[in-house]
Amino acid sequence: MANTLTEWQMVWQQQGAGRQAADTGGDGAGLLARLRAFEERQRRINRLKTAALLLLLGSILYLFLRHAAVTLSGGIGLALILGGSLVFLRIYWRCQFRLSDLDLEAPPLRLIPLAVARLNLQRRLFGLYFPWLGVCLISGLNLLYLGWLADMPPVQRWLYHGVMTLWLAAAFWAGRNIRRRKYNREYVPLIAALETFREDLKNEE
Amino acid sequence: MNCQEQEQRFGEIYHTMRDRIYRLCRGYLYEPDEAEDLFQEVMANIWHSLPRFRGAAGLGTWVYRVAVNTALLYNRRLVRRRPRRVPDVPPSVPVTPSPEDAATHTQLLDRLHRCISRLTGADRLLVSFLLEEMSYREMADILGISVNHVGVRINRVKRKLETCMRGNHGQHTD
Repeated sequence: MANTLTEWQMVWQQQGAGRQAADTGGDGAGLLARLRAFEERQRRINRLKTAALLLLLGSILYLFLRHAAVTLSGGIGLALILGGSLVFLRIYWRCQFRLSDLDLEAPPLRLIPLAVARLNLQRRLFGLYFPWLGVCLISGLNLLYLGWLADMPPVQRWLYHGVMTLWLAAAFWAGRNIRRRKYNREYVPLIAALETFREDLKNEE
Repeated sequence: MNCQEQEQRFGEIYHTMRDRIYRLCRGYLYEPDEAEDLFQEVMANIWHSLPRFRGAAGLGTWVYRVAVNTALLYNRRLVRRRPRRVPDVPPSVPVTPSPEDAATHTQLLDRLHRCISRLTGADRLLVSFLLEEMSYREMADILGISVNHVGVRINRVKRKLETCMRGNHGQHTD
């Protein structure tokens, strides 16, 4: 067995010798350049996302102030939309699973419970916070329209409110299901694998 | 740690440990393309984590911990791409090749990879450490378990590997 193991070790350790030396100059400079380019691209994408979001919220505010008489119900509606969106976005960013947020230099048995807790935040995001965002947006929009539709006959007003509420509720329900499927496809197997690894290592301790 | 120091230390790590990290990735993931992606991810995480290195553990232990943790958390991306393939182990490959025979060398290495891919995640990591000739103490420090536990598991995993390499297919448990 000892001789066999020595042979395996010898064969094993010959792998990868000198790999990528030409590409990187052997000191990782090429890899580092690629890493930095990737980081810069990510930063640009994030800036673009933030700008698009601010533009969207700004447009809603502009449309409201330009076309609607500022009423109490309209103001509450606007506050619900803007406040709900901003609170949700803050939670959304905090719940994102980023390896850089984890203490990767910790021993795996200490890291795994923390990683699982962060992964589980994704379930709370669409299970708890996303429906609350839906409630805020649907109520906010209904309150916003309340003043605009004041001159219409009651039946027509209720029809507008009903159709918009149903349409938005359906959109949120579909969005929640998409998130749930994504969670089941990407996160559940990883959580299971991490738990299995942890149990496997812990069992004989 | 300023940017220049970070770059310098990263360069040292890359120069001295890249092959060992790559082999760890190859031991953990059977497919070379996936192992290559994992290697890049490990390097990226080492780069990002370097400012937090305080020297509480040795640099080697620290690098291996980052690599092991990245490998454990890397599965999410594999799920997104495709399920990991566990290949069959061909039974007719000789176990002890002569060193001069390059083809047999390649066959032996391929067989070793296939047998490792049939082990559990923890065992795949331990075998990689074993094949790098690490001490039990180093393995225990990296994984955060006791030296005795490492010893028990290494003995067990050696037997599994030997059985598989001899051609009696070990039971795949992962």
